[in-house]
Amino acid sequence: MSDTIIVEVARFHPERDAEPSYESFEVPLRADWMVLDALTYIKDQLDGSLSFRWSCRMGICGSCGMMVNGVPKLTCETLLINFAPGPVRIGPLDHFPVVKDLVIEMDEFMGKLQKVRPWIVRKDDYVPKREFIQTPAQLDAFKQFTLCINCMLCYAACPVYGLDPSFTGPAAVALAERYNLDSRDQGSTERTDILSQHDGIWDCTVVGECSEVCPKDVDPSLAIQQYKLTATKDWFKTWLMPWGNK
Amino acid sequence: MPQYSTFQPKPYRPRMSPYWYLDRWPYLKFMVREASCIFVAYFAVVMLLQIHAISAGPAAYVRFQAWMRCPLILDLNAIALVLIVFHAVTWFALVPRVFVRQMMGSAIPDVVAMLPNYGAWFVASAIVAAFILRLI
Amino acid sequence: MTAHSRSNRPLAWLLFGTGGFLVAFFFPIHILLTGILQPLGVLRDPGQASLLTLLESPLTRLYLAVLLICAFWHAAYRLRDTICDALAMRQIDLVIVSLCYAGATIASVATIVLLIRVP
Repeated sequence: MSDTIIVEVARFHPERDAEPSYESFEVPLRADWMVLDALTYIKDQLDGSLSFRWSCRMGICGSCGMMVNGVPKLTCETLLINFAPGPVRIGPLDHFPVVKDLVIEMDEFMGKLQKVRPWIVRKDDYVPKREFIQTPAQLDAFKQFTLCINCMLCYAACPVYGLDPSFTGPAAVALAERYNLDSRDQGSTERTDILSQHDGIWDCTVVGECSEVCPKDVDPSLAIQQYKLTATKDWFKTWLMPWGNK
Repeated sequence: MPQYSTFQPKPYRPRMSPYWYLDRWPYLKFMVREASCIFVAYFAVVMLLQIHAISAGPAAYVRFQAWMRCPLILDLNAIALVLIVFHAVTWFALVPRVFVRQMMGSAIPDVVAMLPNYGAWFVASAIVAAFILRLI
Repeated sequence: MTAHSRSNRPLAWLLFGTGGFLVAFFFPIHILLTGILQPLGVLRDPGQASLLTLLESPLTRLYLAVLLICAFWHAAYRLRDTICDALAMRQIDLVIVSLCYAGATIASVATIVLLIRVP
């Protein structure tokens, strides 16, 4: 095994490039390096102008999501030697506008997260004197969907989102389900109005890649399909029993 | 006055290739699974023709049987079988667990939701076969 | 936002789901027998008279009606999504929806007519 590997990194200079291109760097191939280590090596030793996001280096902040050989990955969790002898191609997350090099614009994603009202909604004015009591079974119903770290790998993997950026998308729906299934929450009607739109959940055609690439096993595809069932029940209630709706 | 945006100049907006499903194997599998619906419609029409042939009398049925023996039709039926079995396998892996989750929370592992479908599949096929072959 | 601004997809999706289950359970055996093993002579064909007796039963006709109509609507829903995704043609979604569901409607009507007119 050689002791270096070629890393092809997407470069995009907004002030002079019309579109991204790939630049090759030769990087030491150390057995314990992640792809993120290769990128920081390039920035430290070879080309300080390379721009990319990273933070915790341990797969919990969700900052370092990038395309590694065409697959969305957290670069801090992806071993470099897995791609030996290389070359390994690193690009910005698919389906997002590219600001510079490997940095993408995520304003729309943040907007979608807010759109689904991701907080406990109560219908009454009750101010609790102590915490809400929740059984382990009630926690189990939504706990999986709380694990999302907003890394956006699922959006990079979702071809529907790529074709139609107005699709609410896996992480946002999983977040909405996290609150809908929470026994303390009473806001599912409010969220239904938002999610039952055409580009809410119905754009989803169950490709399933979102759940495959999720580094935290959130399984957003399950959240979306569960929500389709809920929305369908709701739709029938609306049309068959309109008087019951608030 | 220059027009200011959050990022100046504007970011690069990638366009998705119309052949995006050829880029990765999971996407291609997805497309093949979706394309199985064409063969579902095809064989549903074949069954309509079979019903018509049975209703129209012995001569019509003999013509139907001869038509079903054409190599082209046999090939199409073989492809339809493969694709619809693929649809069934992917369906059982994806759909029953959603109902189980909805009804029983997350205590049941997904595999347990999937397996009874295969049992039901076998039983349903056996019953239908018995009827088609006029064993009952 | 009122309830009426919500998508009406749920109805079509329910048919898609029912059709998906029915097709998964019942189509493979039909294709295997009627489409492959019987034409090849591996398994016997009971003959038109015997099959007509089977077809005359209301239960058989109900089974076929439900199976085939759900199969057509399942195919229409999936085909509409596939054309919009595969060919990236979301702009003419309305045309594609109309064609797919018109096709499913015509096929459903044909199914019912054929099954009612069994002698």
